[in-house]
Amino acid sequence: MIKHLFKLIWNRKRSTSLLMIEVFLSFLVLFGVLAVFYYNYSFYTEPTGFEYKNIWNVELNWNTESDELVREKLIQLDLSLKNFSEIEYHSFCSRFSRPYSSGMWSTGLTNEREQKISTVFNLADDNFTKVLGQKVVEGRWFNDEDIAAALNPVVINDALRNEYFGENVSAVGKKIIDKNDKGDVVETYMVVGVIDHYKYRGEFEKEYPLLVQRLSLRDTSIDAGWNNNTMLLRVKPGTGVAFEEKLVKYIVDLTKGWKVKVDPVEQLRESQITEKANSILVSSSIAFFLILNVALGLMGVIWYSVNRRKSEIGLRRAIGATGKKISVQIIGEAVVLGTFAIIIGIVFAMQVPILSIMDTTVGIILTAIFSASTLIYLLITICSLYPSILASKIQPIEALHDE
Amino acid sequence: MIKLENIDKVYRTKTVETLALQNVSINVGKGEFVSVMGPSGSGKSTLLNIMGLLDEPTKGVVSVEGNIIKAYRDKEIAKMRNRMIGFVFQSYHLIRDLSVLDNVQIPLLYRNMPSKERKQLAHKALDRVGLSARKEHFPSQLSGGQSQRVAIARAIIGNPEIILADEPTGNLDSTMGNEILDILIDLNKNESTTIIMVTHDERMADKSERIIRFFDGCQVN
Amino acid sequence: MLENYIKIAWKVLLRRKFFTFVSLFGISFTIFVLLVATSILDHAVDPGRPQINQSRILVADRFMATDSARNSVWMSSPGFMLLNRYAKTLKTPELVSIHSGSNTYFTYMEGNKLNFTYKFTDDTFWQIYKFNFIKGKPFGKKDYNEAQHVAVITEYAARKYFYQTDVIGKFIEVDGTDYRVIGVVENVSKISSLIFSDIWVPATTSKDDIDNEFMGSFRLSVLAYSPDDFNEIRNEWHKHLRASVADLPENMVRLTTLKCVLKSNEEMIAELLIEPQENFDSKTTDQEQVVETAGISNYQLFYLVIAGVMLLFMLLPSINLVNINLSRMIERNSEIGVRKAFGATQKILVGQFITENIILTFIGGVISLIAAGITLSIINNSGIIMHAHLSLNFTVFIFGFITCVVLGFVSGVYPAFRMSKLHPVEALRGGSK
Ligand SMILES: Nc1ncnc2c1ncn2[C@@H]1O[C@H](COP(=O)(O)OP(=O)(O)OP(=O)(O)O)[C@@H](O)[C@H]1O
Ligand SMILES: [Mg+2]
Repeated sequence: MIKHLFKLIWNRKRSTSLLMIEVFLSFLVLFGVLAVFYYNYSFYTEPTGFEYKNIWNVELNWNTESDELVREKLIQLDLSLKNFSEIEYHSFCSRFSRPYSSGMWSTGLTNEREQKISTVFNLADDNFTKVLGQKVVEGRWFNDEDIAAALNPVVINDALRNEYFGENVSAVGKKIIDKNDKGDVVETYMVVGVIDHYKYRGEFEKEYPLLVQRLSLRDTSIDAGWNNNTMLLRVKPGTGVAFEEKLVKYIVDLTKGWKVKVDPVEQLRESQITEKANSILVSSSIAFFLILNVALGLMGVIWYSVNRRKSEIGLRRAIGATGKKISVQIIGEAVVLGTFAIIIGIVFAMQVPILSIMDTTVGIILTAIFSASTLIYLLITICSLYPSILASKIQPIEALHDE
Repeated sequence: MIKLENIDKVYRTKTVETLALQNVSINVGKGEFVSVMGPSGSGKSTLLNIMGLLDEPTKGVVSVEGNIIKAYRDKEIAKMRNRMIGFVFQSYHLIRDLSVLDNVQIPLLYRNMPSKERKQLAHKALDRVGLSARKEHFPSQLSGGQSQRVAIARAIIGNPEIILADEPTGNLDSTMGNEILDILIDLNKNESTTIIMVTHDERMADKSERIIRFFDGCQVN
Repeated sequence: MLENYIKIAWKVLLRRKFFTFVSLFGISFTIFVLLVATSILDHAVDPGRPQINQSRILVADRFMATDSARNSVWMSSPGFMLLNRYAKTLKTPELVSIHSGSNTYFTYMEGNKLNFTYKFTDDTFWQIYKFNFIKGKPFGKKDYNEAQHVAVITEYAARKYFYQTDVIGKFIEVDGTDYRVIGVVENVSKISSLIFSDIWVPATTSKDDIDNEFMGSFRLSVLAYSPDDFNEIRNEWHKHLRASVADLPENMVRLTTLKCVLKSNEEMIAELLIEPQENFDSKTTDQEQVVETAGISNYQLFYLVIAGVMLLFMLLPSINLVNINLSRMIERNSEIGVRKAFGATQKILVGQFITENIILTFIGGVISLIAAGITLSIINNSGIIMHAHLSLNFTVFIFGFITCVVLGFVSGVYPAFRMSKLHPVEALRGGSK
């Protein structure tokens, strides 16, 4: 049977080659869209490691003021916020450490095995986990014990621990050494704790190895600016715009004219997800219509060839083929054709991980290939189903009059 | 009018080589009515196709009105077919999307004739075959005999010197067949159109002036 | 002849309705997507009011300083001080304007949180960009020099803040400071990001220390007398930028390369899609200050890329159409045979089939035009692109026309050739009517 199908396709290779190209291109379109989707989805399913409900992001902006004055005002603010019953906890951090931050500060760290690890640096104070709820899996978060520490205390994430010290090796109490290109030691850090996750840039971001340094408002070695101009608040559930307005007024008065911008983290999250969803929606709906277009065309072409081969099919019936056999033949031909197209498509698709075009794991590519192939087979079967039913209804007599 | 000299026609496929015509020489004069006969597969249609410049002989020379066809260049051949030759086929070959009137006009389309003039000529040709009442019909609404009369109208509209008819009555019963034959005879007599007709019917062939018989690609006299 | 083609084309289309539907679906969808994309692109390239002088405007929005010895790069927008001292003094352009990037702020009103965008500008801004004033007028040189707290706001901002547009003389809070409204303008599309804003105020009223900012968040717009002057203006700006080195802040004196390119609108858009290659010239080490002002002018490449993407997008629907056309052609064997027998040349037949296909494409084009019109008005009203006024203007229409022809041609040529190549004897064989 299969051999017979190959023969049929081979004899009609001129007309089938174009169909094959069409199916092949459709495969690539499906593959592309699915790969991007799985790529994003795989990140989306990984935990971000922080909570987003009832958390507000407050950005403070001061004009040219001396570092001392800024620091003084920040400390004042820090102390006075405790008086608001609506605020459960508040925390200061750098602009590049807050949830859904657009920026990133990263450096290469080199471990003992001389592997370079591109590491993201965050800067946050002692209350950070109380506000955002990251889980400490080893050691502890920063606290007063760190005030006079000899070595720069840091909390790292699981990813950095695994890459720097090795899988599941305990990290607390160990040092991380930051060297420059020439091998000079720039800074030595002491790990005081490990958190499981903190994908601070949001759901669709890869989890990078992360190193969090301790922010203290009193620390004069930290320049005032983006290092300490961001504040995160955990507010009581149900706290709304009215309090936001009150708080902004309060801060403006206290700081004598700083600019204050408040964004609920939930809204930041929503807008990021909407943006991503929209771009996926646009590209996938374009792909959907392209494929629908192809599907209709494919169905038409198969239906047509059934019509054209009425006499051949009638003859087969006359010789004794059952209607079902005819159906299977029509679908079989289309499936064999699709298989060729998919094989060529897979050869192309495999170039993505081979040439590392996209920063993905092979798993995602294979899943995308697998599901694109499945969809193409499904599509082909559906497209040939109706014509094949028509074909199975052709009566042997129709072999005689060839309309 | 049409002269074939030492024509061979070989069809080559991967496995077999068919000699459809073998050393055929025929000269058809102006105003002649020639019938071509022979068993199925003997090469009659092949002969007509070559005479009608639809096909190229493998060997030999074809000349139409003294002009030797040397190179079968699409443009010139098309023009010759258009001006000099009218075809009538066994299975009519009317274009089903066009009305009778439009179908008849087809040869004139390729002469850049204004549409008014084309229509006039079409009416005349249809009158000639006795189908003036069916001008707006479509091929699917015609009987076999009517269809073939439309086909003849189409063949004569351009005033060709030669009409090539491949089994024009093959699909028709004998009364219908005779009607068609009468039209052809009439054309031959009154317009002195050269007519070359393939037929399986001895009685029809008898009405022509000359019969060429074929057997297995060879002319038998 | 053409009349005959159309007649036949129409009949063929009606005969196989399913095929006609599939073909039209593919064509309409393809042209529809391309039309929407071009209309967005066209809106960006030629937004009309207020940028009616677009073709004479050059803009500098990026500033880059490189310290090649230390391999470090500073990138930002130019600062107010740099532009105010060295760009305002340009002699070659007709007008020079300095305006800031977008700033956003929140204000609270009756328990609601309002979000506004504002920009700092100067008086010439209003001469280069011709805003449509619904009420009042822009601020002038005097207001600017005296740092008057006056603001021009959009209709949108007026309605949001005051619930009406008759607001001249009223006060609006802009990032903590009250400004007096002196003008209300028509909304600006967000696509024109360079000038898009809700509120514009004089740069002299900024509370930041912009007078000492070499790098910052300002942009430079210059209006040339004619596009022919672009090179001359760039050269003069080059000289001024070189001189600006004298004012470099202390921590930047080591910098060896300054770059602040004056770009035409097309170059700006091209940059959005193709990041320009920033090459650093490392030969200039010995404290020599090198200034770059040349344009990138890779926008030709940009158009090529756009055209490439569009063609690629048309590939699949085209092949689909070719396949359908090839299928359809088989039932027309007899027609082809007859036409050939009665004197049609190959060329004539190719012409016929391509014409048929183009007719079909044009029907699809009309459908897609209607669909695109509806979609664009939905986009305009939905606020996906704020204040956008996308429309099917003449350019887009012409583009649609061209795509129709291209699509009809591309998908028609191959089947037409296959059809016309058919041997007449072959075509007439088989007893179909
Ligand atoms: N395209 C072709 N390829 C191969 N062989 C062909 C081709 N066309 C015709 N032949 C062969 O050439 C021979 C003559 O065919 P032709 O059609 O001229 O016969 P005919 O006399 O018209 O028969 P009939 O009376 O049945 O119409 C046949 O043996 C046929 O098999
Ligand atoms: Mg025959």
